[in-house]
Amino acid sequence: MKENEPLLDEPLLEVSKLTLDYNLGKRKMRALDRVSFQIEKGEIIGVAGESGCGKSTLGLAIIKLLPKIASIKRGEILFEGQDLLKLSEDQMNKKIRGQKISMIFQNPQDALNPVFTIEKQMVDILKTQRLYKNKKVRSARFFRDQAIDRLKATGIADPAHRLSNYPFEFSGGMKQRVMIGMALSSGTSLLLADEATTALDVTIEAQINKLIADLAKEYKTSVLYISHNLGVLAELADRIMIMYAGRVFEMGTTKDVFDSPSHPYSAALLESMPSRQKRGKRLLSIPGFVPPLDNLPSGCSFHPRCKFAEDICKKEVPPMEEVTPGHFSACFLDTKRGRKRLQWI
Amino acid sequence: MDLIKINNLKTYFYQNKGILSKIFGEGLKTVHAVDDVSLTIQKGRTFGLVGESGCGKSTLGNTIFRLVKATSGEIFFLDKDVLKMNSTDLMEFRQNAQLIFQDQYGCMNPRMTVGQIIAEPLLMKAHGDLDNNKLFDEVEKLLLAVNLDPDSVVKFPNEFSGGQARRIGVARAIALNPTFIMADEPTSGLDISTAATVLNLMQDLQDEMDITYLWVSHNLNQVKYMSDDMAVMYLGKIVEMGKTKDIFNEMAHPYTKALISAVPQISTGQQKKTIFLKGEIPSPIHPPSGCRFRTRCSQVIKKCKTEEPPLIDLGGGHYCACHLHRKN
Repeated sequence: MKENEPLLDEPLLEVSKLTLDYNLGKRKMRALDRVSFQIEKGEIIGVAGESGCGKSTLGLAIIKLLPKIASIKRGEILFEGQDLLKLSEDQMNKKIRGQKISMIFQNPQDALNPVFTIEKQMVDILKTQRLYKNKKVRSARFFRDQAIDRLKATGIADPAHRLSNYPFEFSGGMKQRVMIGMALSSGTSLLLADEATTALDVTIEAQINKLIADLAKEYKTSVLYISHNLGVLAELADRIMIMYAGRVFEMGTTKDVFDSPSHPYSAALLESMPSRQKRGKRLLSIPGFVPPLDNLPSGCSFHPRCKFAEDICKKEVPPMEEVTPGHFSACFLDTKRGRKRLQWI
Repeated sequence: MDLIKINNLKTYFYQNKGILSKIFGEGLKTVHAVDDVSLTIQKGRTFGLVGESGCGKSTLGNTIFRLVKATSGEIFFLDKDVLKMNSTDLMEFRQNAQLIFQDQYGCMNPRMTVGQIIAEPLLMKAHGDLDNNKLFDEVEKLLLAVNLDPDSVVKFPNEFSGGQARRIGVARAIALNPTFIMADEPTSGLDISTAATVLNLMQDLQDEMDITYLWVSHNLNQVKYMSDDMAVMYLGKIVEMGKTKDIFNEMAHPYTKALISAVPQISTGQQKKTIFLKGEIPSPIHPPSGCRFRTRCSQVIKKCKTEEPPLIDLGGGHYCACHLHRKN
């Protein structure tokens, strides 16, 4: 965990009141509901929540890779001052995707083409990157050297030789390194990582996360790190955002959210982790289920499962409020009660 | 009491067995998936088996059930050697020992209803000779035991969420009152809260039915929470074994140290130091000479390359296979 540094310039990314629906025939699923947050330069933000909470949708919305059934109802995604939602596909491809904003996914084997060598795939990406388009040197050798540099930066041994390998010749961790190498050009200012290490072993996961943290520091790249693994986020992220059923429930520095969660849902997530319980003691399992997105409960969408729900929770949607400086929570409970009052068991 | 005792078990797989690769290929390749493993699982306790993917932990589990063929060794279930059982004995063994699979949907026939899936082992045991009412009662009881609605007997597996489907797998596993269950990554792919439900359920069942678990997982937090004893595997070998408490308190093997340090923790104040291992797990076709971990170990000494460290008792049933811990 890094200390909060004073913010000198304007945020790199500012998402405000982003609202998004998935239209499945007559069913309208609200996947994101008034999601607002900012990412500063060089900051790592962790997004956590159970499956179906909209955390992946958020990542896809920022880079505008949403499926056709998705429609953005409201909101803005300001990236370096310009609204990404107003850009055309062509502009996105030319200026943003793979140049300034890159994404790495959970399954690197699905993201790499099995019938081309790593060199071919990396050079293809390099050629499209604006940074190299303007350069006069465009020899094959130049791109090859660039690709070697990228692989070296991600810690792959003997990169010159490995370039001629096919994806199947790499292990899962190695493939993820290749993906990171492709994603990070020197112009990249935002990296979206969607469950980037979920498919990897713990020792490899630690390596990859260290790589992401190091690269973020070195190149001042901001990272939106989406994961359901709270432990990984605790070690990697500067700030944490907890999502549930398309809404942001809590946001604050990693220390604030994990040491003194002020939303009952965050507290519950932390209590259901085996790492926090002793052998033999029961784990918390939150009663009920994540509600279907086309039929959300009234008021606070968590109220049917919440132990602390009161009458007002059923009627009104709790607004995001600042509990302590920089720590926001969307709950009607007197959040200053602190963690002791949020004991679920 | 020892429920399962494994002596010098080896499971090898062979590649390039075909005639073409014999002529043109590089010849027969041997994958040393499980290489000379001995361990004991005590009755009523949970034995955790951890390691990175490819270390042979699932193969070891599958060998116990004779789902893959062992190359050599002995596996005693109570007093009978599973590897030498005839079909009648094996049938009985497989009623007492059950599996919970990692892929909760893949292990169920999508065309069978949940009722049929859970009733199948009961019918098998009774050789089809079971009164319908009685069968229905049994299935209902099992569904209630795993906290599912008994009305869901008519539903198909795809109608259930991941956590529910996993619990159906548990219901099927406990249908015949087994004494031993192997759970292979029983919560992989589940959300935190859902995983907690499954873990609570499995602990309750253990208390009620006195089940012994072999808990195969790469999730060290979970193994720490669930298991009484544990073993750490690396490239087909056990590198450290003992009481879970002892291993987490006084980990002895450099690999265990690295593995445990790599587990992400929500820190409670103190800074944790992660040991980053170099590279990745080597190929089990040509495992390194001497100690198999030496290619990634930070504390290598000369001996590691030439001599394989035996699994020795450090005291109190805490075993470790490392030259650094050998008495002079």
